[in-house]
Amino acid sequence: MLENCEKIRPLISEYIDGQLSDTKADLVRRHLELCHDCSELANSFESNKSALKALPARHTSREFDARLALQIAELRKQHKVTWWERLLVLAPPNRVLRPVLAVTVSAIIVGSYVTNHNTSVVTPTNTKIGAVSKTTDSALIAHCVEQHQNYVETQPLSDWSAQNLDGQADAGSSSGTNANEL
Amino acid sequence: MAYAQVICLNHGDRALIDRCLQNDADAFDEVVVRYKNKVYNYICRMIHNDHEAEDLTQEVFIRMFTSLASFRNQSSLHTWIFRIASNLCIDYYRRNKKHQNIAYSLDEPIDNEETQPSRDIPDNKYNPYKVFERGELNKQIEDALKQLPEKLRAVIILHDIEDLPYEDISHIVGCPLGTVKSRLFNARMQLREKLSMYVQA
Repeated sequence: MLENCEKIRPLISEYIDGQLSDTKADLVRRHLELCHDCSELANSFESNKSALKALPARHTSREFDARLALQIAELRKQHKVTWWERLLVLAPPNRVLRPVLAVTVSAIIVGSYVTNHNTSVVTPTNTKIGAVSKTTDSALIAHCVEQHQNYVETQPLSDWSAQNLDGQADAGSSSGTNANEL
Repeated sequence: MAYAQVICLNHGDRALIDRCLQNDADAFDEVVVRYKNKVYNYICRMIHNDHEAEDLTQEVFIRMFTSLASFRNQSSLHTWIFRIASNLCIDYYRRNKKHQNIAYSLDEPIDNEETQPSRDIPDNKYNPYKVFERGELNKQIEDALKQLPEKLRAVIILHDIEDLPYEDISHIVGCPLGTVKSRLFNARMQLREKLSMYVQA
């Protein structure tokens, strides 16, 4: 047993797995060339590793395969992909971006809700002046014009020139003073 | 399987997982076909009970299916699958802990040879024949594996039999890379002691 066997031995396992850096691997290789005990240890590690590798693989039985297929088919029937799970598929996996996306989506949803609730529906019976958004101004104006026209048709204005100042109709309206001359 | 083949498998696995995430039933079936024997192999050697190993293997794929949406490619597919299998083995040990330390009396009559362990104690002191039939050798190796502590057994199965790299094993068993290396070394030292009569260096 050489002097540095205690330092080299713990590295032998990584050495046979090819997991050492070139420098350390070279160090171990040179030691193994000189040290019989460590060389025997490395060889036994290699042999056992090969023996483990050569163990016959175990396989599931056909009955198991059929049972598993049935179980998964049953799960598929029960499991419906939710909209949230579909969104998760599209969402970035990054731990920073995902919360940012969640906050952005939430802000859009809340913003849409607030915007919609600030708008009053314009109807002939509940038109509210001063409480409408700019997008409905043109609709409101058109509606007011229509209302006025309807009102004028049903309630025609009397000829103000035929009225005296106290509001009574003039008896001789045909010979009366021409309004233009007033 | 060499590490290069493991890398190729990883790329194929990634495409497979993407299809699974899009609810492709055929893709999940392909994952099952690809991994069921590996998982069964691993669990069998960990818990030494073929019947329970089938149940646990089934549970691995059920858990995979139900938690697929939360798998975000943060690890490779085989790391994820073996992590689930490893956790199920740990749960199995905890449930059966009380049965693990039972000492069998040599004087007590055996009720059923099939269910109770054999009381033949092999004489390992001297064996002039170092060449065994392959079947007998495999049996000795399996027995030696069985005698390893669970933590050492897990890393040596994952590395030497399943060909997984150190980093993946670290994620699967949930311990640092340095711990994986030291467990592998200790497992090999113990196997060397148990198999010195059977495996020629």
